[in-house]
Amino acid sequence: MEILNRFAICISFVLAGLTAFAGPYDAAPNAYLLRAEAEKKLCNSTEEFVKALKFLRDSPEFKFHEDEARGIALKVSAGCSGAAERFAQILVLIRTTGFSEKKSLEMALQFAASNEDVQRNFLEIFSKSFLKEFFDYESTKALNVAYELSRDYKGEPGRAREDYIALAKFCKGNDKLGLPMAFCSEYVIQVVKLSQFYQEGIVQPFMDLYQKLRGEKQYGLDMKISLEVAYNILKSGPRSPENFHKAFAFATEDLRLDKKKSLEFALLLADRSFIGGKQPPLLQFPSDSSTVVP
Amino acid sequence: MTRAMTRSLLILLFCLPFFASAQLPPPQATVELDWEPIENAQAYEVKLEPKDGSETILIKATENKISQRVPVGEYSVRIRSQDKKSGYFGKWSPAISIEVSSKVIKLITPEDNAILSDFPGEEGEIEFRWEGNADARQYTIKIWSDNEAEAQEIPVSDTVYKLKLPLGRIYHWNVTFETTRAIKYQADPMTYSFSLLGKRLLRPEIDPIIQTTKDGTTIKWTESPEAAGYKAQVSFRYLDETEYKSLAEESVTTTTWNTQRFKPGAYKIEVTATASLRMNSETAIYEYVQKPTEQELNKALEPALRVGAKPTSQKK
Repeated sequence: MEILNRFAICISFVLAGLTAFAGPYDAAPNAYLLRAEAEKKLCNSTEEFVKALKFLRDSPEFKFHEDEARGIALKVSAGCSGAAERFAQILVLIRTTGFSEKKSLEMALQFAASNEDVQRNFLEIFSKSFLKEFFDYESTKALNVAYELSRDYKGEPGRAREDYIALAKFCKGNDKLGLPMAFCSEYVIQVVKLSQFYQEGIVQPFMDLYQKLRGEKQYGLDMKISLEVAYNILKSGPRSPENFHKAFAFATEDLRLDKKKSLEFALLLADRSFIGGKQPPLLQFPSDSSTVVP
Repeated sequence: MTRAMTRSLLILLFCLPFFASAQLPPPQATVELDWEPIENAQAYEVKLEPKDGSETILIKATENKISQRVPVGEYSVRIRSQDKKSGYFGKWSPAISIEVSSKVIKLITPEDNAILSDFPGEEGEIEFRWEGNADARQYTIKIWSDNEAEAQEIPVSDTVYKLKLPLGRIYHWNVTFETTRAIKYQADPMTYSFSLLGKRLLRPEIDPIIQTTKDGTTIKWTESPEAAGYKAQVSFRYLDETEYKSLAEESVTTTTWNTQRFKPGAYKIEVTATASLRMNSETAIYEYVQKPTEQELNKALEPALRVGAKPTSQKK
């Protein structure tokens, strides 16, 4: 893989050289694209090596032998620009939260090689999930959530991070839903995972839908049902809310169904808003969840 | 008077073996005799005549008992009393035969210094077992505890005996035996001891609120009634590891333990209530994860956040 990357960089240089020789106005559009792509792969590897080595030498909590530190810094330098910073932050984060030096190093090297947004997602989501002040997850669960919304996340990483923080505040906030931490931690993750299917993120579609379900007379659902229905609509993609509202209106006005039947009908049609692949499973709170969801 | 003395003569022998080297006199053992007191007697004389014809041993006693080390062997024993008023000695009692011996009966169970526990209720049934002797007609098992002045002496024909004893005491026991010739032998020079532990102490409950300050960590638990103290232990593991390593252990007399400051990671806290001669409580176990605060985490991250910062320009 690395050989292929190097080969691509060499080709880019050759093409860039030819472009420069021919003059910018003679360059084919493909050459520009190729050069722009190659630019992304240009790394200040020496700077990253030096930064990583200095950090390892200066950090009192890590006592790596000089040879070991140099070996680690060399690995970090392979992560391209910003790698040392990404490495140092994850190393400190994981170590400070109570993991072993071995695990901290392994994860730090992994994120040194990732892009900045993925690393930032991991850092922020793991911190928020793990710390007592926020979701207070058990360590393995906090790691899994952070991985899901960073390394394993298919959409735009920055969007997932923002959605996670915004929805967590909305769910927990005393001036918002004010729901218990245990419930919010589970629910928010489920909703944020849908963010990758929404170009502008999941927060706004969720808020619009939730407020309608709660506030509009024709729905008038309680908080528990509203949260459940909102997720089950949003999981079928961006067209789903519109299909849901239209179907509900048609069911009540034209088909003359009662509220319960209309809701079932609308959910059925909303579920058919996306046929591109396997959808997440239907969310159904346990019947006794009234103790968790007011 | 002599007849009365003869009739009432009770003999108990407790002999301690003496393993002499070749240069020393023959082995000795302690002979213990007691008899009913005689009215107006101010003293007694006990005569032990060895049956092998060696020198007679005369022992003077001011009480109605003696304890004297003598060479092992068979003896004819006679006793006489001295009148308080006249100072004259009465007649010798008829002779009885005793054998002072270093023969050993090996005790089997309960083993010496055994600690016996797990008994329901207030008493524990103990099975005493010892090796038999071919000459024995009858054994006498003697059991006593530090709490009681009187020992129990029970004649037994077998080499096993079961007895219920109150819990929470240290007991001592030995076995003597009597031969078919009705001569009492010493049985085992060793007396075994065992502890019979009382009921299990109630398990304390560890308070889930663990307080960590800059000076250390405080762990609290509920009081276990009748506990004299607590054995507190804490082990540590990193969050990605599975095995705990012991970090600190201490015996405390209170229900609070101030130990070293917990750094972030997983901890296993174990507390056991203890008391002398009582079974330790079940160990209370509480697993706890020490997390940094948001402030502590942000402070730790500061140097890492500076790694990517561009160096500030310096004035010439």
